[in-house]
Amino acid sequence: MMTSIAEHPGQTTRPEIVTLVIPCQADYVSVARMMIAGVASRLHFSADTVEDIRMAVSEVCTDSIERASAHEPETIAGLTIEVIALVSKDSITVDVIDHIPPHAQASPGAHKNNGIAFPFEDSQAIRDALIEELVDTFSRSHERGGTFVKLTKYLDDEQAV
Amino acid sequence: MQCSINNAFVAKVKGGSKLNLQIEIENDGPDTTSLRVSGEVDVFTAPKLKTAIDDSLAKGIKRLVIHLNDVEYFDSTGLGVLISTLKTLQEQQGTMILIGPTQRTLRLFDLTGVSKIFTIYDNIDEANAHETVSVP
Repeated sequence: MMTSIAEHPGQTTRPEIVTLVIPCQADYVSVARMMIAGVASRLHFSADTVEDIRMAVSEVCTDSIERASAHEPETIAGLTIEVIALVSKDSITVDVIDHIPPHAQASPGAHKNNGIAFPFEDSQAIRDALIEELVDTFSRSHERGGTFVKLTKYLDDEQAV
Repeated sequence: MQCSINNAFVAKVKGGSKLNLQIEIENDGPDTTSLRVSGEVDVFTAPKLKTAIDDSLAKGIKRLVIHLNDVEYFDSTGLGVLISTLKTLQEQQGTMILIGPTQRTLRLFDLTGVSKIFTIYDNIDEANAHETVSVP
């Protein structure tokens, strides 16, 4: 696991970037939740909004782990999930990047990872619908053999403490 | 009414990671089991919740009462466990009752639309006011 904090280069408003890299394992999702809650709290979001952001990031990481669980352990050994939070004056943008093939490219067969139960027939669709409710913008793209998710939550008068 | 606590654990998994999930299981007669869940229910801990529930269902119970008052975090994987449990119980002509979910858990239920299919009570008094059989 690796964390770093740095100023975003080339930005006049100097937003801050916090990066967390975790193993693609279920027991590390709580670490991502802790990280994002701490970062979101710096922006003075309401407690409920911080919880929404925390849940959204957690669900994205869970999705990565679900996709990884469809592959043989040796295929996913050493893979990581990168969580990059960019905090500006009035928003938080979170990128979640993994190198696990999307569902359509996943190996056939039952999920293998730790006996995790994913009882939804299309858990990603349900998870995506939930994430869309929790944040202001949400996009997912598949590139370079992995998945890139971007979430944004804006600070507004109602959300501000 | 005979009530016994037959399982309470803070589970540890291989590698030493500690599960932030505790489940107390009480049997309240042959037909009813009560689970008191505390901690975090997520992709890491949901399998343990599922195992605890499946063990209860395997005994042929007709009613499962799940106390969620002390759940600090509940996500879509936990939701999936509850949905599959409800489905199994309905196939066995059984019922599932949820007691005391936090506002955050209720928000998850509302956002995903499952609050309409779950039987949810704020507390045990409310449950007993509406259920024909006493809720443990």
